[in-house]
Amino acid sequence: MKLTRAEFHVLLALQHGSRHGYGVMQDVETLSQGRLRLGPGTLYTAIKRLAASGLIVECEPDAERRRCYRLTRKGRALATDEARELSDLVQVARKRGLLPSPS
Amino acid sequence: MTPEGVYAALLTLYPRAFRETYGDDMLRTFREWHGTSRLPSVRFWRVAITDLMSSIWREQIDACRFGVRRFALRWLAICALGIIGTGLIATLVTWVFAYLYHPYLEGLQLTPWSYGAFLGAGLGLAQSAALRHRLQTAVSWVAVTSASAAFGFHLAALAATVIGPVGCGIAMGAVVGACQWTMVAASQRVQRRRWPMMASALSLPIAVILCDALIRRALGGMNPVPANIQATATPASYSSAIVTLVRGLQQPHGWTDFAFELAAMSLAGLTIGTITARRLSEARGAH
Repeated sequence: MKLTRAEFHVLLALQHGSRHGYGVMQDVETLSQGRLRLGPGTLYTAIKRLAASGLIVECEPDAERRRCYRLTRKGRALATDEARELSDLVQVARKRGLLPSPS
Repeated sequence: MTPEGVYAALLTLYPRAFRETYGDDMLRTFREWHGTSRLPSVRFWRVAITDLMSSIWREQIDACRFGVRRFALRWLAICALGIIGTGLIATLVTWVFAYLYHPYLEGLQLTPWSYGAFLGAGLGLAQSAALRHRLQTAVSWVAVTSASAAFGFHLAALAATVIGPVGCGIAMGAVVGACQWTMVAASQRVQRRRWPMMASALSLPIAVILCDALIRRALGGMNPVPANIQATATPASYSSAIVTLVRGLQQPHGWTDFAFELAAMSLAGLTIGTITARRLSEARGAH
């Protein structure tokens, strides 16, 4: 399964434990340093697709009865693969001089 | 209207299944997002609406590719193509009859209801082929479709001068769709074993009578328009709309007749599909 940018960010946000929808939105904004702002529409479209593929599952609602989601083993493995692929891409970009080499 | 009310109204643009699963969560997330956002109001709404529209578009496409809506679209296509296909076969058969003309056959006529029965039988066969895994009563289905199309077409013919060829298609479609809808609804209520017996008992004699009438009258394909209608038909003026439609079905004089036939038949098929799609998609699990 090929992940979209929003879906990868949702998986990243859930890497450190379960979150409800708004928590994921906030985390994604923080992780991307404000460059990616997910609205509820994009967020729940991503959640639906990730849940249907078995990459995330719904977990116990929080104290305010908000529906929460957590990463599955399959989701974690796919997120790791995706991160590795992006990391390889960054290496190539460095070799080609698109990015400065880390000092 | 409150921001939440506006957002809730926009959520209705999502497919129902998605809305039922995530609608409440989305509204709650929006409430929290709106309450804490530091964006200026206009910019906030621009972001929110852009986000919603791109997501709605994706979900609507998804709903058409999978699930109930996919079934509904396929069903509409089957209904429209089934009835158009039968109409075209009728035209072809009539041309063949005209080619093999014999004076003995002159004067034989095909009444509007027998056209309807023929169209209904073709449509019913196309539909039952598509529903073969879900329909346990294919014979009854074809018989009911044929009988209702005969009645619907005859009824439409009576009002043809008022409603026109396209109206005829819609009227026939409405009658057939209503009968099929009733059949599916009844089969869900009545025990499975009893319903096919009842339906067969009622519909088969009707079908036999229709077939008998068709066999005796069908050879009049080369002179298909009833005399009273024929008398009012002139190429220059389509004073009787049913003449245009019947001629379109049987012996199109030109592209106008042919276009009317296609429009009427496709509208009949779409009307039937629209009436029956939901009931049949719900019935899938039952069979």
